[in-house]
Amino acid sequence: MENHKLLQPTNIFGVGLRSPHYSYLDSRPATKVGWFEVISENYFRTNGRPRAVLDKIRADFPVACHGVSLSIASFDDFDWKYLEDLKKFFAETEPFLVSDHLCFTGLAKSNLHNLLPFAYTNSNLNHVADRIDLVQSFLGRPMAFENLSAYFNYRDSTMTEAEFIGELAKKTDCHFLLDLNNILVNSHNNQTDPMDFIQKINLDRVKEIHMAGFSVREGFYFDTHSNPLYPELIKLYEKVLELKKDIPVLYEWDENIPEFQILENQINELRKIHESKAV
Amino acid sequence: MSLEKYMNQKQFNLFFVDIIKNQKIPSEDFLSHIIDSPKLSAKRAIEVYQEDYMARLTEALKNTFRGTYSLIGDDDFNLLAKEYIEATPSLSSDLDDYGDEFSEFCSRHGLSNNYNFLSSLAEFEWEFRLLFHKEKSNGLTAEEIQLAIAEEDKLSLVSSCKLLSFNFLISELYALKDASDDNSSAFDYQNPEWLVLYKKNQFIMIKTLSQSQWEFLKYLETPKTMMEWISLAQNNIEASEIQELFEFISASEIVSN
Repeated sequence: MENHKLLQPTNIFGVGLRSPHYSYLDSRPATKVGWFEVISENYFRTNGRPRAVLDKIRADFPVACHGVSLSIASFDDFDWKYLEDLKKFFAETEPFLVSDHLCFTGLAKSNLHNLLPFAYTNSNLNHVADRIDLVQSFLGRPMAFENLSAYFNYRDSTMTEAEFIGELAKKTDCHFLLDLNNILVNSHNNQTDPMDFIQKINLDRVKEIHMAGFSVREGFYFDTHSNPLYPELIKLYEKVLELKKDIPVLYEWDENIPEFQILENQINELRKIHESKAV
Repeated sequence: MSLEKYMNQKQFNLFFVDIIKNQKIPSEDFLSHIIDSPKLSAKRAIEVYQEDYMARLTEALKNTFRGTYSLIGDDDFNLLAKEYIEATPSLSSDLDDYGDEFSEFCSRHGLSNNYNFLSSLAEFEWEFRLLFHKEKSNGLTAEEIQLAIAEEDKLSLVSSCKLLSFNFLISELYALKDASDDNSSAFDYQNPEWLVLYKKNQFIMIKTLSQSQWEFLKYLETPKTMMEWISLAQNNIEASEIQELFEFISASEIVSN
């Protein structure tokens, strides 16, 4: 597979490219943001303004492509037209990383646009590993797969999500995207220790970290990407830094998106933490 | 109950999707495959996924049909969206693509009796969205048009240009989405409107034409020489209107050869 390491960002703190910021970014403002991540499906079939903005951004920053509809754990055949379009988009965009989620998103004729959990069993491990091999082979590059925020667990699971990811790493050469917010949300909701997850993951295979603000309803944490970073999430990031530094970090904000400068402030907070740990 | 023994993951997924999509109450058998979390029962977890599904798709419709949402308000739009979502699963990988049958759905919905512009406005907003995602085609400048006419080239509308007509003043209704208060009753929108939507840089422009100008311009949806085009004008368009139309075409660069 092609080596995409040369395109890695040197400034590891990035944000998601979102339409409310297009006008601001059009003016090419000075920014301490090191890279941008785009939702692949929002850009790969448009030739309008989103693509024009992305092309401008690409001229100045490394870009990562993050998908939401691959449905790697589905039992339906892949949507091969979708994969062909993705492959073309990656060739044009030259992202340093491409990723999606360890989940299924619906059925072939019914995309629920949600990231749905599956049981962590040996048979599902083999199934998902086979599909990862197939899709990576088709795309001609490794993908990173993100851990999930799930609102229930299966009685039938024989391993934890972290153990499943560990086994997946043995079976495929895929990478992982560590979403610290998802880990925190799940651990709060299931009353487990988030560090259990971190310690089980081979961080050498983690090529990106996602961080976002969750919301709380009925005492339950929801992965809404709608708030500033909470102290408990920052603490978790500090613990990751003790184990491995310099993994690209994305700050995500997807609901009630604030001004770009607010995202930059969050990024600067994370940078300070990173620098203090580096010393 | 073991998922592997009684229901494999593939079967579970079929039930799971059906329960979410059709907002069904899960059976005890289905729920027995799920563990209650300390803070959320299995039943409530499924409800969260159901609520999330409805909220995501409703939000996507509100985003695409901003004018419609703004004019009919939360309650009626949510009702319309709920029934549309129940009837129309998303087939696309991109949530933003959701809503291609919304205008047609609106035309059949009882709310069209309350809002007679409903389907037309939704159609306008969907066409607006389609154009938004199209690449801007480079049309001819005024000088290039003159040259093309001299060389008897065939002219036609560029692909990033769309002609639309409605029985209501849709562009003015659409503009109300950005108004600070509801002025929809402040003007008589029940008049026909003939529109050209086109791109300038990456932005969409809306131009209102007279019916005769619109019909005359529509001939250029298929390529024609200037002589062929002019011959179609006959007597139903004033010379001054043709002059005005040419000025618009030259300035907006919406024809190519």
